[in-house]
Amino acid sequence: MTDYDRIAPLVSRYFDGLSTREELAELEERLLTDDEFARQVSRWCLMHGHVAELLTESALHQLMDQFKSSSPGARAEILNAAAAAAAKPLKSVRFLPSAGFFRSRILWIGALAATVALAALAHVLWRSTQKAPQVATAAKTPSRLATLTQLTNAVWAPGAAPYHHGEQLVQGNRIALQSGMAKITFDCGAEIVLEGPCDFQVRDAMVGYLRSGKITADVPRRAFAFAILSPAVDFVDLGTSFGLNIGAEGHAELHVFRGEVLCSRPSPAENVRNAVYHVTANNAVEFRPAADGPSDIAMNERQFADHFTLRRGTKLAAEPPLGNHLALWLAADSGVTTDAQKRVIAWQDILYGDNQSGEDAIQVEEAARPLLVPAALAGMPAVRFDGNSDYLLTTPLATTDDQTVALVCQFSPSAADKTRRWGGQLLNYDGPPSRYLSDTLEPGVLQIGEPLLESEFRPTLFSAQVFAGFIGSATVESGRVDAVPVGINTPIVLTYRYDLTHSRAALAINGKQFGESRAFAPQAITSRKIIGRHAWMQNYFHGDLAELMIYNKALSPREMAETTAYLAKKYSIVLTAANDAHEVRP
Amino acid sequence: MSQPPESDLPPTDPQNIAAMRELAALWVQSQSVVSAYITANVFDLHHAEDLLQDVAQIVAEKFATYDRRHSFVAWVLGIARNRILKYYRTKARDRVVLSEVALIRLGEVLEQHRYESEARREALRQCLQQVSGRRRDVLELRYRDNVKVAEIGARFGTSASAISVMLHRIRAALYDCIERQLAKSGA
Repeated sequence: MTDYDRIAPLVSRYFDGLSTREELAELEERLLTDDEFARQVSRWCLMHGHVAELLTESALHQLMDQFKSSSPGARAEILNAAAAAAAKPLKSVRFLPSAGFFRSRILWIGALAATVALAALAHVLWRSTQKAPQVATAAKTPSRLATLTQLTNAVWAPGAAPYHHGEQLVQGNRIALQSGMAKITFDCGAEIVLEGPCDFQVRDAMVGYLRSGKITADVPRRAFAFAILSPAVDFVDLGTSFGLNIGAEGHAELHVFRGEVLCSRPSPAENVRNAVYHVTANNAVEFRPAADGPSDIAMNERQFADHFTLRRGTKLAAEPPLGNHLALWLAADSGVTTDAQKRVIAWQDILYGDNQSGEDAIQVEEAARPLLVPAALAGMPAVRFDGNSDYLLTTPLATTDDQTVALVCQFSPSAADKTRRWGGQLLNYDGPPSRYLSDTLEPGVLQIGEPLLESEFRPTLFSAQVFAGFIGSATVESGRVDAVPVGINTPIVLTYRYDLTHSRAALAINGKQFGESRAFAPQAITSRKIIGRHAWMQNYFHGDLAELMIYNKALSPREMAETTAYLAKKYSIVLTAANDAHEVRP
Repeated sequence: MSQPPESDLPPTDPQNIAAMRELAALWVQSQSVVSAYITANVFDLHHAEDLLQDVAQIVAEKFATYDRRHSFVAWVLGIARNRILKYYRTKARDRVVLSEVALIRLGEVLEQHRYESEARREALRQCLQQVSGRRRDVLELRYRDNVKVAEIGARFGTSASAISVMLHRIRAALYDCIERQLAKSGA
């Protein structure tokens, strides 16, 4: 036996926490005096760390592979199976997927983006309607392109398929109304309101086909080049709002409310270009069957009045003090559509101030619908999440690096259940397809809720942060601030202000700030926002949400105070003196 | 959704993004060594993971202060060393740990071997396939499930010292296998 063979077991025992003081002293002496021994120990250290990594790797790969193709609702079995297989608390399941996994995911996302861009480009260049969809048919399985976000008195055309409120629409879905109205929100952000009789088809991520009928389209800047095709005329939006009325035999009217629209007769062949006409705001044109080009007509917004009403929803009794940079506004006393059991199908984004496109929160799956409770919170309605399966998803919403979230909520008695081990999440910016951040180069994910992991979990304690991704197997949290437990059945106004510009984040409850921390990670992204659960962990919110406002800016102290006061007054919540800041995390 | 003005659109700070890219690249090169350093000195693998996360968080937050004239790995290992010492100090752990001077020495040697890490890891991947049966079970309980040696002994109806010896023999066999694999590949 060599000297190293004799001393090597000491290294092993040190790894396992079994060294006696004498053994440790011997190990230490050799480490400091014998360079060759020190080199051997360092290699043993590498091996020790690698064994731990590799033995968990295969289970995690299996888990991640399933995440790639699953929606959040389908992940219960996956996590349960993983938890059983690993036979250890989820805390230890810190995801360390292979670089290859994320490389493939990034390429896939890139390909998807390229597909959308190509489709838009193809239509801007006026390729024929028959050629352009080929770009999207490369996808093997139909994926959601749009969501049916509103239905009012809808009667379906004879022979047409009926759709439900909140239904996810894929390529080729045809919405044919005999009467009534519907709103379709494309994932790219374009909103189309249809008025029966109307025959509309979802052609692509950025393309709709209007065979006949009247529609209005509101297209945000990020959906630049969204196209509506029709039998006689093609329309390409340049970031605007417009109305279309497609009649029989090739008659078409275009009314541009804002921005600019390009229009042209469809090209008979790929290399043939027809004339392109620009129509700007407050102008209208019509195409007649016999004429090539359009002729000016009188602008007529009134014929689309019902469309504007449908989009804007109910007029509110009281308006908030700040509409500037408002991105999302949900209030349970306005625009909540429920099923027969009063469970929420859709929660309408209130259009106010700068918030001029509706990213409604929707739940298609019956078992996951939260309940609308009329007098849940200070006599006001609220949406109740059961902590087991309920959540809502907005349509894709563009949010910026600087964010302010203001909400009114309360925890249910089930939040205090002694058997709970992990925290429930109320808001998460990583809606499907979830990104599972591979590194800190991707935008972070804003999260508000109880601390997720067992080791940090405290019931009814709110924590807010931007999860900035993984560095290796380690997670990076930016701007994290924890409050204190607020208890059950206690309505609160919560505000979280993430100010990347000035590197500060702050969390306040009822106007009282619970600390401030450094905000260092960017988070701007267009994503579906999840209300009531984590993106892929089974961590659900136990409680009621009455109102939620998201601003694409860090509100100033005065704006914060005004917004907090508005919500407190509406829900009869007594504010705490906001004079004492607390813990400052490093 | 509001239409943010151009000034609000990301990214707002190219320098910050460049720094994050640099950090990610540096961390990818060093993470394996830092992880090995912490795992070697903190036998509870869950706690070791937590410490690694703490270190990553500190590194991300303090990256602006990193002096690029010195080794990034050495800088991170210094942070890791402080966290390990704090871990034992504040938690009053009952386990003995290397002194600070020995931890510094171990960090220095590990830093010298950081370039070997990837090759050793891949060699180990092959070697692990040869571990089966009861040895495999013990290894998985210790490393995958973070079970203490004494408890593993209880599960198998044997003593902690017997399991300790078995674990050492498995490690020694793996170590030899890695050396053979590396010699074969000329690494």
